[in-house]
Amino acid sequence: MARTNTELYRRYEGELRPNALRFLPLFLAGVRTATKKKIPLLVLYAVPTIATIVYSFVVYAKYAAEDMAVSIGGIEGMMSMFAQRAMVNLEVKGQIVELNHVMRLFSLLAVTWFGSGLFAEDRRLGAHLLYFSRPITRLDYFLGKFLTVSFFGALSVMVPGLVVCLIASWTSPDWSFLKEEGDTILRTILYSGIWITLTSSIVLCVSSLASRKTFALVGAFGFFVLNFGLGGVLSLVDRRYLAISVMMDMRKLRNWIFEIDDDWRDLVFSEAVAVSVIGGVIMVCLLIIAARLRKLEVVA
Amino acid sequence: MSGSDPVVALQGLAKSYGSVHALRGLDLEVQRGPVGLLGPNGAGKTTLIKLLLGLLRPDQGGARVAGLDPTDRRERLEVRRAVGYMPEGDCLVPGMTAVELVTTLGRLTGMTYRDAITRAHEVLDYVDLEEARYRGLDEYSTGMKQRLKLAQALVHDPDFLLLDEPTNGLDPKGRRQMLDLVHDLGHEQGKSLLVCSHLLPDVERTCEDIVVLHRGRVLHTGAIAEMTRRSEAWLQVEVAERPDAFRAALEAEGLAFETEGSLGFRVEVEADPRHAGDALFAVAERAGTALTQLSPVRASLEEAFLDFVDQAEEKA
Repeated sequence: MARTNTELYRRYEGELRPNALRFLPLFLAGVRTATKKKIPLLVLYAVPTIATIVYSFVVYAKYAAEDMAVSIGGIEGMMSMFAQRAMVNLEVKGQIVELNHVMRLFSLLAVTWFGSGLFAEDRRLGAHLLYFSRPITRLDYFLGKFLTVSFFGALSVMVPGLVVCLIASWTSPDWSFLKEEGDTILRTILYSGIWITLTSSIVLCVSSLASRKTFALVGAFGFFVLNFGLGGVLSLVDRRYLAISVMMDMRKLRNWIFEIDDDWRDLVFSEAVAVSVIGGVIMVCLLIIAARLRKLEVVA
Repeated sequence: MSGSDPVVALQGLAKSYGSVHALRGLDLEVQRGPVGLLGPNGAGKTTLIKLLLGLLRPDQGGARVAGLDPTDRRERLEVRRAVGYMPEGDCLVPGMTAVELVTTLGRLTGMTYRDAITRAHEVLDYVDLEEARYRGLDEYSTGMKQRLKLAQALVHDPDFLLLDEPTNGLDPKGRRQMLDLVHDLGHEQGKSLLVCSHLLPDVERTCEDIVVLHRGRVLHTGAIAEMTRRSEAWLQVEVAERPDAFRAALEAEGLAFETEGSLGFRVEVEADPRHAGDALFAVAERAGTALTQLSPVRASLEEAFLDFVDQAEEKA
């Protein structure tokens, strides 16, 4: 005789309440599931973690050098003085910009790795049937997935930048970083936010079109490589075609957002063009995702 | 919605995929209680279930599930809150544990985290997965996956459950376990069930009523007992003694019969079986014996179902 615990069924006495944040359980489940495999986490976040520590230490050392009253003597003292002078002249904002710029590549890896399977695998396995048999809308489903992928992107690019800003704020004498360069925090959030939105949209779009995670992974990387390559090739005809490359557009936006002079003179297109291209790519991706999710929830 | 209202009401519901007509204007009312949805492959069972959940949009007609319209955008969410759905396919997310999956789906249905996790443990216990609840779903056997799919459908304790092929791919032990659960839900826990299956014995064991679909049309609705009674043409009889004399008397009456054991017979009758019974009592009297058993021989659900399908195909 097969054994079941049929005597244990209990009625649910609680209440089912419509919740405005219905996407949150999906987001939390997505993060929890993705973080179960430790090796990808180690591979994808080791470099951003080390870089954050190094940059934080550099910023800390700069303010410590500024703050330090020194008494110097002999050759050692001279060396120390030069090092100290170098640290004092170091620009904290420049460090944060550089960190953001470098980390976006690791963010791209993380977003692609963790985001590629979110729609493709749900559809392949039929898991969307479990979700859409619940009282959630397509927007809830999308937001749950988008937040999941953005979370992993933010860990690589936004969080390191903000950690360095935090260290700079705490260690600068008399909160001078906050007072004089506090807007760098907002600029960091804006720049990394745009990057995360862009990459997450592209990766989720490819995932919604692909039949499995591997294909989506290849497709997403393929998009960035082809987009970059196409921009590069067409720029040989006209320099302005470099605006086709979202990587170059982000570089242009970085210069604009952080108000820095880039010594690389190939970016002859305007900021408006960069914003339009990035905004256009995001819009197209979102429209494709919307159409694909509509098919996923209600078939025809 | 009152207790006497049908749990599902369809009016001219039609759905096509290109040139293939999956459902052809269904008019149907499904009453509360365990109901089987039978039909050969391609009959439109899964399409109907998806329409009831608002996962598909009908081409024509309308449906009401638990008094709500699944095609209406707002009411669709209410339908999904009121209904538990166990899909046919292997739709589980690898990397999750059973507790995580059921809790997440409970929260998506509107439960608080505390309620959802408590309820997840309760329903996993109910389906006998209490020891495997923290194991990754990748390690689950087919039987465990089926029971987990049932558990997630039960997490918010809906009154109406849509079970799509609940015994799909199960070994005999797993199948029996699943049927015990489905039977318990329909008979002891008072749930309304729509059990979609092409395995007729499973439906026969868990449901009292059935809906038979064939090529997108309703062939039959009603009680299983009624459906199997339609083909009653044989009576099961047993005599107290003198079986040889009874056999001779049956031959003398020109009745076709088969012997079953030393005292038993299956006798073919042409008239209403109730009147035929009187005739058999008279035959027994003439043979100098008495009948100790007289009962109609029911067709199995499978036989009755095949009769329906054959008749429908002949008409077509």
